[in-house]
Amino acid sequence: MQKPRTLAPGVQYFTGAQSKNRRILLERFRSVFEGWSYQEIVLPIIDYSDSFHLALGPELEQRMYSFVDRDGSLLALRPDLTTLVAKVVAAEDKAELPLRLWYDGEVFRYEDPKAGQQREFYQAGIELFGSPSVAAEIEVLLVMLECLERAGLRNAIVPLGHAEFFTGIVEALSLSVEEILALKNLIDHKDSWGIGQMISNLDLGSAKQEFLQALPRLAGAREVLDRAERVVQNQRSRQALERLASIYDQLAALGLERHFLIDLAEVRDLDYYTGLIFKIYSESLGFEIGGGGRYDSLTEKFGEPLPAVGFSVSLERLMAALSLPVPQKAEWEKAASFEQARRMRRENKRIQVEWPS
Amino acid sequence: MIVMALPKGRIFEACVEFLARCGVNLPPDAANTRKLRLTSNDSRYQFILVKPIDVPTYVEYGAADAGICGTDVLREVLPDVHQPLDLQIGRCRMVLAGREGDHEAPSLRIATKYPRITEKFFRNQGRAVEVIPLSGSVELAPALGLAERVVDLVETGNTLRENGLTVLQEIMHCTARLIINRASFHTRRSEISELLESMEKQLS
Repeated sequence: MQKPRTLAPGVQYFTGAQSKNRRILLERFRSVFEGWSYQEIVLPIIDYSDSFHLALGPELEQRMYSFVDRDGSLLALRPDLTTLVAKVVAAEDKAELPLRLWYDGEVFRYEDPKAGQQREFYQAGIELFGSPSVAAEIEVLLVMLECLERAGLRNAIVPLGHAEFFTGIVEALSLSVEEILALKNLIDHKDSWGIGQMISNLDLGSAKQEFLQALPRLAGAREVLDRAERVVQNQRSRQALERLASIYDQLAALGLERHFLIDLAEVRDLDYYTGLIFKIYSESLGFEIGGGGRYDSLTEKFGEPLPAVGFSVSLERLMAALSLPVPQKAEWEKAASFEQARRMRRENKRIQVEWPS
Repeated sequence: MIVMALPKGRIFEACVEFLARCGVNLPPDAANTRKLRLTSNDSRYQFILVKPIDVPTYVEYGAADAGICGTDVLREVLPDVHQPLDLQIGRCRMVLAGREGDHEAPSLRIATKYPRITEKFFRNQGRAVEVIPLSGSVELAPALGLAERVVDLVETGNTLRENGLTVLQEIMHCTARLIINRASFHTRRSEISELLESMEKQLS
């Protein structure tokens, strides 16, 4: 048996200023979500492993806390909240679309605790179901920015990418499954050199080789889209570029340019996302605070196709990026007896009872 | 200002020399100083001098925006960082070595500074071995009966020979890589791309 005082690896507890600030942040999020007419959805902590496997694929499944229920079925602590929202929404009667939902809660993933990654962490976010339009994406990004601003994060940098951009390129290259995986991994690490090594063994022609090698550097300001458009021929990638341009330009028209960048080499979580992908960064933290995107094929896995966009932030990471004030100690009044205490509490006073000695 | 983590030891001088070619100059006494933090002449870079194995950690957490470290360290630590360039310096090989004429023992113990790489190497061959993690002077292990084999870096092979060891198998080639923090890549975009461009120019 472990020593009774030992905490399990990857979990944390919060008290004092930290727990107060968590409450304050969550309250601000809630008020932003409700302010944009999103409804709360409270989700189960446990669900069938199969649901997460279906939605997230084998990669995340390996990092799930799974266990066997008494009837023999395989359950898991939720490693993701979007999956649960999608599953519930697919089963519900959707009288009104678009459907706007918000949630917050703990998520559990079995991984080495490091770089802001605990095994239990807290996410807050929204999902917007029922609209394939750019407008839905803009709305989600605006809600996200407002959340970050209200939390006190004014320097958020959000690179925008598109899942179809990479898919289109790979399609045009006719690579094997292993080669696609290898290429994706290299692009994910912005490893131009590694791509050079890899494709020198493939018979692609010099134009395509040059393009692939330059792919990791297709990240930066709006002009990246123009640069990409000049060299990409396939229809899927070009449509992705058009979509991103339209999103970016609308954001710019709202005066939000300084928050947004383009990153066409964003290829993580492609099994999940089908369109826009974005990550939230800040100068004050070395890793992402949150992210999101469009996932039009997720609810279909649960029996009902619905276009969807969403975002989530990790509360612990956001708090690490903020320099939060230490909340003031609250003043209280003395209550001389329990009788007086009850009276003062009816008047909503903050009290401490002086117990009879 | 960009914070760059540099590895003390084997490849430090090659890093300084390469950076100078890219127009990034450390103070002239960098190699001999006991200081752990140095600033470039033009104040555009701050350098932190750390143990090679720690470079990826500084960069992954964003304590440094960029860093230079060997592929040996990258494969061992597996940090979640961008690694855009191979700097073509600090070349060496990681090898499996043992005593000359030594027959393969049925249960193999292997001393190494790279337990993760070693374990993976043998697992991929379908072999179970006992990995003994050490943090230096690995070549001593066979002579003292601590292990039958070692996995370590070799440049010239002299250290191995002096300890009566010979290369049995090559595991991988190593060079120095530039690594960049995932957030810094975006939040310090212009400074980072300037650095990348000057390095690419040197390498082409």
